[in-house]
Amino acid sequence: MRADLIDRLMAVSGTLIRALVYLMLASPAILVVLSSFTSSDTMNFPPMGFSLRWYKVAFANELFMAALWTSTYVAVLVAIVALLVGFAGAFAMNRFSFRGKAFLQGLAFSPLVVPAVVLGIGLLQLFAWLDLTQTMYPLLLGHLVLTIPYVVRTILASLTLHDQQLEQAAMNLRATPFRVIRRITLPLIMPGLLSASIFAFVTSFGNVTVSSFLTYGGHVTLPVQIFAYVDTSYDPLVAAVSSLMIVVTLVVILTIERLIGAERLA
Amino acid sequence: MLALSKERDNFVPEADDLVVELRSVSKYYGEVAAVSNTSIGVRRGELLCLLGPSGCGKTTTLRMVAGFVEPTSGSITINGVDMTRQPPYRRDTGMVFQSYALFPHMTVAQNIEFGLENLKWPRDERKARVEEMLRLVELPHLADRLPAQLSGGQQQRIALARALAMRPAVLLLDEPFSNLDAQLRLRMREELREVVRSVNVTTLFVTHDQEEALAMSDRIVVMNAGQVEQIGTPGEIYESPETPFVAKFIGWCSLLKGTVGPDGSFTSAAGLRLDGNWSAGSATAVIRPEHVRLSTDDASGPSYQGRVLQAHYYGGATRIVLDLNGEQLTMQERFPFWRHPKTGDLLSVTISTDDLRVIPAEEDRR
Ligand SMILES: Nc1ncnc2c1ncn2[C@@H]1O[C@H](COP(=O)(O)OP(=O)(O)O)[C@@H](O)[C@H]1O
Ligand SMILES: [Mg+2]
Repeated sequence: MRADLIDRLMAVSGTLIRALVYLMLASPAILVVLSSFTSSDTMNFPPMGFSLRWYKVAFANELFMAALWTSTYVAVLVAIVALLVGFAGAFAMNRFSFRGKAFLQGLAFSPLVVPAVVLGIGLLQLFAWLDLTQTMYPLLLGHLVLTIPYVVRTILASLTLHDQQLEQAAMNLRATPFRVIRRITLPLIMPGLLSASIFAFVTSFGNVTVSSFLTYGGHVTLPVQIFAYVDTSYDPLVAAVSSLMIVVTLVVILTIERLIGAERLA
Repeated sequence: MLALSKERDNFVPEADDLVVELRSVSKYYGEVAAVSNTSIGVRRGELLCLLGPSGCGKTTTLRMVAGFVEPTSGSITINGVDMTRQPPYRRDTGMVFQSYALFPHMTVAQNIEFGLENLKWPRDERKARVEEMLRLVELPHLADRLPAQLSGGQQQRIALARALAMRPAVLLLDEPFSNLDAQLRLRMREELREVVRSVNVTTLFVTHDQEEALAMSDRIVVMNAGQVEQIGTPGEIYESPETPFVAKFIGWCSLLKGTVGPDGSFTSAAGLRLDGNWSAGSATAVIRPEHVRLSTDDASGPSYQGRVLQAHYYGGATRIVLDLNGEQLTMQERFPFWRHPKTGDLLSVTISTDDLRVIPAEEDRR
């Protein structure tokens, strides 16, 4: 009876603590979204009145809209490329032994040892030397450097847990290696692919430190643009733009889940 | 379950019609030979069993036939075509894995259909075959379940249905019953035999359980340390083992080392003499429990006095370990419980030498 009560108490407090943690994690976003609907000229909380005024301003602002497009475009591309490169790399490391494998594994599993600012400067110099500063490649490549290790790591973990006997069974049932990967391997490591691609998207979409060094040539990402804007003025426009960012993030995550999740049923 | 055709019961496979043929196949892992210089032919329609202790190379042999392991040397043909260097997906084999290896993200029907899709069968033919296979293993009601929702026995039958759906030239099974409990194992053994017989598929079966091998096989390949010890029917393997290893591995027996004299009688190292007509030289006598009987008045042949070392009562029979002139023999006899022998008792026994096997030393390759 008493043990029962303690169990119940533990369960309840566990739920409460979890709710509290989620609330704390989500509260900045909630705050921003709420303040974006204010009708006043300044950022304040709680918001005064309700209007879509600042969304109109945001949609009319070409700098922000261009940056939102650049960010989305770059992040989607980064997620796709990181997933392809990451899967190929992880698959190779999981299945074959080759020279430099230990080095690559170490690279994928060590935390980012170079401070992001140093990485940004280094990449800036590299791309200036390669004469690529007028293109979007610096952003793409910079974000890939940030995301690929994590993607490799996540997919490698999925592949390690994956039962290779299933692939042999498929091959015994006349499936060519390509079909084995498409029908057996990929569907079974889908959770790993899902979290890896979402991570790659979110990292690229929200990055400021590295991006700020690589946004020359007119390709400015949204977080960098927001930073620049907040430097001079502080009005509910940034709240509206940030809310748009949250919406795009959610839409992309749901799309990835739908795309990858649908594959699983096919 | 399925009706067994009468002809199938007395099936005798043709010795020269081989579905699978391994010729001098070896597989080395570094210096270690998992399989060395092995030649095995699987005849059309037979159930051939690879039998041997754990680690003797059975799985490796089976996986070389399926194409998952590449032989270091030798050749493998399936239906007369050299398959030694072909990948698994070009080989006409159907395999049942020890852990079944059902695809967890596909339903039972999709699992069975998978191979047919790879062979690019039209949709309605695929559906028809899936239904046929589900009926064969008597699980048509489980078509839309996921493997995780099945019991071990059901998973096994689905794995069998999946392997048989493409009507492979040879069915390969690696210890298919090892994950089942003892009772279910017996039932699945009978079921598998019936299914295999009813579709007439050539089968190569791996087990370390001699009873399973004796009960199921048309022929048995006894393997030891990567090599073939003997190939023969269950009767041949049991009645006339060619090596002491085979004798010891198949069924319970005592092995007596000794010599056969010029008169054809066998004398063990400890001096136990058995009259017979064997060829002279050093040899090993294989004495199974059924060869040792309690002496009766009308018994022919000499009687021996044996001292009981151990007696185990099993209800229907008692297994007794006897000391006979310094040799240990096991016998099995029905004793009423009130007359049950005790350790130290003396028993008078005869040894039937009619079908007793004495293996000459030169046949003993180890
Ligand atoms: N991939 C491998 N690498 C190294 N040694 C192996 C490998 N596979 C099997 N062996 C060795 O080969 C021998 C035969 O193994 P196996 O065919 O699995 O035996 P069985 O199935 O009869 O138990 C064993 O000694 C085993 O350790
Ligand atoms: Mg094995």
